[in-house]
Amino acid sequence: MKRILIILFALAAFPIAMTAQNKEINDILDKYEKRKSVESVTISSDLLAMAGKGNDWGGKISKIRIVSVDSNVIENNVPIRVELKRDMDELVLKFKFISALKVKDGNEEVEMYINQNKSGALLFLNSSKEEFAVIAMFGNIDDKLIQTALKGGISIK
Amino acid sequence: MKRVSETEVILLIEKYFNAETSLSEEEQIRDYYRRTPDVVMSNELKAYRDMFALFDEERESLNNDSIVIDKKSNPLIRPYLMRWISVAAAAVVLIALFLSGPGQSDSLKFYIDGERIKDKELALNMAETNLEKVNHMMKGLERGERRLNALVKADQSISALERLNSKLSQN
Repeated sequence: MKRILIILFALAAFPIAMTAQNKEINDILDKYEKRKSVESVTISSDLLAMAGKGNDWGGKISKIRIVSVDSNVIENNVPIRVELKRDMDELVLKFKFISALKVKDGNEEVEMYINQNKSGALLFLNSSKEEFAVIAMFGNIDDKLIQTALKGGISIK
Repeated sequence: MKRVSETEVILLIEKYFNAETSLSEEEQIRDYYRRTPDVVMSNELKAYRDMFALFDEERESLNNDSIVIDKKSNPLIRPYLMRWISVAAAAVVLIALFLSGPGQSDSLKFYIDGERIKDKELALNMAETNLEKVNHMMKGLERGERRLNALVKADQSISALERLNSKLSQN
């Protein structure tokens, strides 16, 4: 009986341990989600399954989270976008994300980071004069999905 | 216990119905009925036999219940059971939390300025707008890459023409 309970406990804890990185991304985004002057959307499983039907990325992405902060929002003398960028930079270093590319077009810049894994993540940090946005995609991050993302092919409508 | 005579029992029963008997006197009445066979008992006393026998049965059942209570409060059994009940309860809570963890029940969450907005269309528009900005940059990158490839091909063609021209000039 004791052994069965220990095994049940281990089975319940194992998936949580495996996605520590994804948990930390979610924790950071949760921190900003409900703040003033922040827009946040989380789309998961069912809706994504419908949106991804027939697409290259269909069935691979289990959740998309987007947090967008206006540039002029300041809290405790620090612009929130600076705080968010710093948190994301630290996370990228901590979990050794691969820096895939950095694209600049006028005053807009996009950084793309990859953690290629069955329970991995794709991160886009989109920075412009007006705002800063983090787009996090969770799921089975494989070559095909990365290629689709590089071609600008991920859309939910 | 002192054995009572029939006369004394009759007096005790009278006292009993007047609620004047002590516990030991009531025990004397019961003891009389337990020890005295029916054949030597007067009819008057036989009438009360069943009543005092019933009281005796009740008392016995109460005594049995108290024995059961004692078993339940056995210091060795209780903590052992409680420990396993608490372990099982913790396992159930853990599994329930995992199965119904955050984000698993809501397929769409949308916040603006700290307020939850239940507008699916607006939420999807916001997501698509942000994705489109990224897609636009990526497509721009792809266009740039195509132009670069075209320039490389053009350069290769020019180099081939130059080599041909050079050979023709020599001749």
